[in-house]
Amino acid sequence: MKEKKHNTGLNVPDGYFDNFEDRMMLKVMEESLPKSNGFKVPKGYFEQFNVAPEFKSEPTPQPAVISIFRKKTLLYVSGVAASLLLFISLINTKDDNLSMDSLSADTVEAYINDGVADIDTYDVMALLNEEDLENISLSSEIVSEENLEAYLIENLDETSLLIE
Amino acid sequence: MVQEQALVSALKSETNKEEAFRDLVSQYKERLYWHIRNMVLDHDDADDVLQNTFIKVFRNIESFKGDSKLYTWMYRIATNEAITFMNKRAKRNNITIEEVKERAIDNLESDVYFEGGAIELNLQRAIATLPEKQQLIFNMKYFEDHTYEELSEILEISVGGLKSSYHIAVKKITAYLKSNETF
Repeated sequence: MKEKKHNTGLNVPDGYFDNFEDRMMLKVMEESLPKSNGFKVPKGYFEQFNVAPEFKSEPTPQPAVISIFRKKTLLYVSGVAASLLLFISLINTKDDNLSMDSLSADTVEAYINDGVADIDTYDVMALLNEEDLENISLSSEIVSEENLEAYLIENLDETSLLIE
Repeated sequence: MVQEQALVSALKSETNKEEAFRDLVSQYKERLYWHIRNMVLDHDDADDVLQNTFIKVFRNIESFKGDSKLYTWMYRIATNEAITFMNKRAKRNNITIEEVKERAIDNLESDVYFEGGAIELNLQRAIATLPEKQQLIFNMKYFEDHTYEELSEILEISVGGLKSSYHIAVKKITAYLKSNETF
């Protein structure tokens, strides 16, 4: 194409003319295709088109509402609450009839031996006055010779004896 | 001329029609594109109109009797397609064809496919002030470099009438540019 004497300033995208023939041939092929799909509808079909009555007034289905306080949940919650109340009441129960005197020596001993009461020897000593201590040392009933012998056999090993 | 007759015969035949059409497109795509583009100004619009023009040629080649040259016939189709395109746009937007042209010129300022400056833009505004026929004559003579004889065949106007119209168009454009101080 010869150079134009006057330029309009108008331009074309790069390569626009390069593939124009191919685009044109595609367009021609498109044009040769049938313009209609051949489908027809009965006369007045769309004027008479109505939604079937059974679908007309059907309310829009609402999502199911699930209550937070369902019967089963309430049962569980009340059960737990009752258990807690019982537990607290048991803890707070005070038996006014309980005293050291009502406990047998065996019970106290078992209590101490089981480690439930972490009572140090010094604490026990602090609770006793001199008279009590004298009575303990003079009393042969508290620790008999047999008991003392059994205790020594059980708790002292040979090494301890050698050191002594 | 012999070449053109052979091309027309091939376009009318069943066996070589598509190949001949490809040749025709190849020969005239640029000339017809610029003819259309000078009328509609926008590239995409010109592309649409050009494709429609070739489709019309392909579809109606049987009705081409050879009374005029093939390229003359195609130029007429292209011109009619461009005018029809602008008329449809005017109707769709409920505006006049002059307003369609004004909008197209306004869009040129931001058009990536317009590399002209203020002078070229003002020249387009000046052309838009001309009557439709004078616009066509001016564009085809000034920008597309057609001879008066070619124009006479395409537009079916006498050479004398064309010269007169072109002369008037140039004077009007010059006056417009002077009054707008860009000339």
